Amino acid sequence: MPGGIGLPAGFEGGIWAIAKIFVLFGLLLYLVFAVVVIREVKLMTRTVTGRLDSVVQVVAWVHFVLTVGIFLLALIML
Amino acid sequence: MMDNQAPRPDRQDVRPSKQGTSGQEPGVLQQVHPLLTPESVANEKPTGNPFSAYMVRPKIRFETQDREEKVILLMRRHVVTNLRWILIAAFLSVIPAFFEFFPLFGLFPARFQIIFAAMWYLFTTAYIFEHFLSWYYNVYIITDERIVDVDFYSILYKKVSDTKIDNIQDVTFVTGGALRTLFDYGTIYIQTAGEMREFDFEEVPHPDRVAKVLNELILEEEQERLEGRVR
Repeated sequence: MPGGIGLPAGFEGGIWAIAKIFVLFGLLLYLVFAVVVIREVKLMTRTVTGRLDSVVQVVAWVHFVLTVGIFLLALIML
Repeated sequence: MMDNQAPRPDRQDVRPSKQGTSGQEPGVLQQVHPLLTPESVANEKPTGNPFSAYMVRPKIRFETQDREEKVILLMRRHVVTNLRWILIAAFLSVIPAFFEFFPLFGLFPARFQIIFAAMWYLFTTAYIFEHFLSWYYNVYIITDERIVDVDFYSILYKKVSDTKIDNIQDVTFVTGGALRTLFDYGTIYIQTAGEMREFDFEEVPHPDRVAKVLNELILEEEQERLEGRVR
């Protein structure tokens, strides 16, 4: 495996399993943040309504979808 | 100094009258009330660029806007003030290209490295987006009736302060330094008699023009009060 740290296979597998949990936990927290960003954008666009509102909302949703995508990718790949 | 007695077509709000209510034919324009736009911006075209930091009569609405209230100016911090976070974002964007030079990064298997790079770009996107939102939605609005300061602190916390033009007691603007002089931006300090004693329009473009608009509005409000046209 490229990039391995050269430990016994079972032990190394355990380390990466723990690392996977940390990564997934971090991404889960980030997912919450992505939801908060959507709420934030909603609050902002309600306060000041302009021409870019729909674009900004789309970006917030794309950011959320990307976060979900990377979370799923990490779940499958790691 | 303004001349409120002189006829000013650009400052007249005209609407079609309804037949039977005014005795006029339908489609005939009827003058509803004069003024509303200060002289210094009356001849300027409405700003169409939504990214502008200085928008004259923009097509926006804000939460507490009255139906008859008209937005005269909308300001944000000058675009140049974004330079710092744009440079940081550019720096963050190129860092993954140098990941292989970090000894610790090489210890991780390739699948982890891919996820880390993806996460890095995700964080960078969020960093850019948050800074853009902060710049775009923290606005200062001048209407024909009041001034409004919309502030969003961190995430999900907002503060909207406003005061009537009548309450404004003193307008001071400060510019200085190479960058401010070069790009013509500065801070406007507005002393008021309201609950919030001071409004600061920070790093807005053309502070001299903004101060002039405010002074014209103050004069117009005084004139309205004298003529008994207060809304």
